Amino acid sequence: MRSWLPRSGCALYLPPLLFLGIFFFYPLLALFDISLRPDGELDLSAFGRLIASDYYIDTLLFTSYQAALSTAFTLLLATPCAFVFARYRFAGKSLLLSLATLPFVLPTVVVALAFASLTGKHGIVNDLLRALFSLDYAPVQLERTLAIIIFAHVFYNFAIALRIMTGYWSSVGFATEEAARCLGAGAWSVWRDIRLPLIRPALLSAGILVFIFCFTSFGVVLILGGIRFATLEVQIYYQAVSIFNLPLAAALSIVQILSMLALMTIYTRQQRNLPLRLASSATIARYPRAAAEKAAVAGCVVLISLLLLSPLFALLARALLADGGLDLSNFLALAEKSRGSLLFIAPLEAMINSLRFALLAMLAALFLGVSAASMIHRRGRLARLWDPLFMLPLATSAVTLGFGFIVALDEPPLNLRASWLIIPISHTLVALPFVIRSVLPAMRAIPPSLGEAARVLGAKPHQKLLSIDAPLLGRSIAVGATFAFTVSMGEFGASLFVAQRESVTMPVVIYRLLGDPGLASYRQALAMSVVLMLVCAGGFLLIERLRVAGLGEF
Amino acid sequence: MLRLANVTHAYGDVASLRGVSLRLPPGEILCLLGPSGCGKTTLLRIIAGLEGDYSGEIRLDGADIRPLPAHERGFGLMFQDYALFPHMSVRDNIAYGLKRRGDRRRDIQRQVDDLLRRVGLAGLGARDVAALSGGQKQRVALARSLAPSPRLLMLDEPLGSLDAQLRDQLALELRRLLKEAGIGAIYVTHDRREAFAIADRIAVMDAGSIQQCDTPHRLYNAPATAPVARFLGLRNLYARAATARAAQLAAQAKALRKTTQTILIHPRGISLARPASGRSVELAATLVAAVFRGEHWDIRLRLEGDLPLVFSARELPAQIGESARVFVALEAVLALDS
Repeated sequence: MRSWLPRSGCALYLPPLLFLGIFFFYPLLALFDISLRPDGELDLSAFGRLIASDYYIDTLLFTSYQAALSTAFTLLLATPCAFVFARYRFAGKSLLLSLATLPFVLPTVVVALAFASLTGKHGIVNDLLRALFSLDYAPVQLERTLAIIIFAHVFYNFAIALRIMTGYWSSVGFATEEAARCLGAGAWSVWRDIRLPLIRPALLSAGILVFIFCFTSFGVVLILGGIRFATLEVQIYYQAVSIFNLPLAAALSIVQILSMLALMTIYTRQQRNLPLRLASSATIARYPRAAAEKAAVAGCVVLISLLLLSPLFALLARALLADGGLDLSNFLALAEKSRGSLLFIAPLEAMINSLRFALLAMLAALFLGVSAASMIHRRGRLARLWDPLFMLPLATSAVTLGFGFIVALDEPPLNLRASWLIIPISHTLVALPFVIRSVLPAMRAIPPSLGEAARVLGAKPHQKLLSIDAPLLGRSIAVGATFAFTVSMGEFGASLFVAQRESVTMPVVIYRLLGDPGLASYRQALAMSVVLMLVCAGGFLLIERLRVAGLGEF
Repeated sequence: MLRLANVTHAYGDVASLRGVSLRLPPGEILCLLGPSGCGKTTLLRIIAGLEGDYSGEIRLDGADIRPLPAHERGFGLMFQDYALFPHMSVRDNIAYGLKRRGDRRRDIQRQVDDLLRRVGLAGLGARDVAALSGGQKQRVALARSLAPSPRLLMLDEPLGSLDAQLRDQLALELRRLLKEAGIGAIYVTHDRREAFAIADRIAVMDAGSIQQCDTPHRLYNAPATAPVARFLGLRNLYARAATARAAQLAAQAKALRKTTQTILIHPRGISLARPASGRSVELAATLVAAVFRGEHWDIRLRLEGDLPLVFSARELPAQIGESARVFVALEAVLALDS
């Protein structure tokens, strides 16, 4: 009889299930319908033709190819850094780890713009090189190349790989490699025979996760690569919005959903092989002694600073500096709609939109997420089913969600297509898994005996909820709320589909501004990206501070 | 007076309690003693109202308490892991039950101070519970469960996670505090030393049923069944048939009830010199092993027919491998039900 809510609270479990049914499964079914029954009858031929076409196979191959390359580079850089983080103690280590994780919460549009500011034709690197060598052309030509996409993906996913592997490495410890050294193993054989085989599970886990993220990457590919480098995600968007070939877009979405299901299955299977041994890294890590060890630490610090911080600084510099001094005019221009812009509203209004939607999505995701988490937490046969069910939105790409929304929710009884409500609803769906994953571990960490002790001491169910559960879950609920808010502020893929005219959000406006001709729009985009980056960084810092060590699954 | 009649419970298909009946007079300390998994914690949780889905009767002073939810029973329960609320101070933990009862702030203050003093934690009220040692946590948990003056206090292995030395000391203290408070208590443990130190009566449980319930002294000196004897640390148990191999023992066993399957030689009746009073038999044996324990030797003999006999004595009867004589008082040869 372990329960988080009084029995009458079962009614609370209905909203999350209804929400998932109406706003996740129904749109998904609509996509299937459009693709598999284009004329109201089951017709698999179109789908079959698509699967067999070169065009489709090329898209799928390219999507996998770029994801594989990105994963390989991420692991190549993150593995040695993970070793350094697990093995050595050095000043500023936890700060560096926090900074390295920052990119993960940044919206894709911001990252794309940051990379443009760094390595674009008029980016900082080219400016520097031009000034240094008095060139009259841009020596670094990375715009619209595969290289910049992969660079951005490494930037994004480096910290995920680093965190997974560092944690695992700390728990595995270093006794075996010390034993190997005593047995005569050199530096190279220690890597080959001991370290890599030992952390193989973590390497695989991180690899699959990074592959999943790169496979579904949308904003980065769309903005940095353009249609020439169309991945599945970009193709879905392009087919649905630019060409209006809905059946083809839906068919691609189905392929995307199936690929994600397969990848997530592999991932969860791999996760089960990853035993979670809790050993504090502080007890294992030691100060670097030999010169080579110090060099490794220094190299790691330099790499992370260069790779992860330089694009962000480039963005800041481009937005805030002009003619060698601080210049805030970019920000002042946000209140105006620049001439010739395709936007319906001024950027400032979009910021207000974003804030409004993020608050709404946060409240909704909190309510639904906490109910869902207590539902999953209850013992019982169904609980095992609920958990993966509520994680499904996370495994479905935002573009697919957005596309599903406009296909399914455009006619009565649920005609939300023209309503601004559709945006916070889509954000709630995307944020829900983050809230559940923040709150659930905290719920599970509270021993059932605490609630029982309260009951035996005379607490009525609601008193127990208020005096025991609520204060103990407070922190994790705050973490979930911050996650939801930050995720909503930066959400791009779904918003691009569902946001209309006056109800556009910051990321969508930044993307549109980038498409506008003229410097004024570009400078507005820069300023807005900085604002968005600061909001997300603020949220991220709050999460890092609130999170109890070891709790929370993100 | 708490009365349980025929309480039965199962986890899924596995029976955890099979028709348990017992009674607890006011002010008495009853120990439930048994190996882990014997159902003693489940029984406690049923009495506390934390476990549903059981059959049987539970009455307190004649009134059926089964319909009452846990928070209306007015029982205290002290958990094995203490279950201290980690977000509250020592004082707030102890005051929790008093607040639920609706006591006035000033009364709560006074009662908590009094309890802190009684459990030896005066001045530590503002401490964070995470900053306490194991023994201190145990005292806070006890104070918290005593605070609302429960009609009955239940303690689930309250000393289980402490080290042996602290356990002995706290067991005595616990008995003193419970007797002072005059509260009837049910105390669950798997440690017979702890049970002996604390209980007025001990109920030995095995496989979901109560095997025997008596005072510690009578229980130890006259265990009713083989599992009880084994659990109390009595080791010289023989199958009746096997005793035939030792002539004197067989003669003695013949005099016992015919239904008996197991014979116990109680250590109180084993000695190296012929006892001055009472009838005894002399057994021929070989000294197999001896371990020096300081105050005594733990001695292992082999009787005729390869029967082992273990006991402790002040001196060694012989060198190892040599033959020795040992005397068994006839009143210490007991018949047990299997």
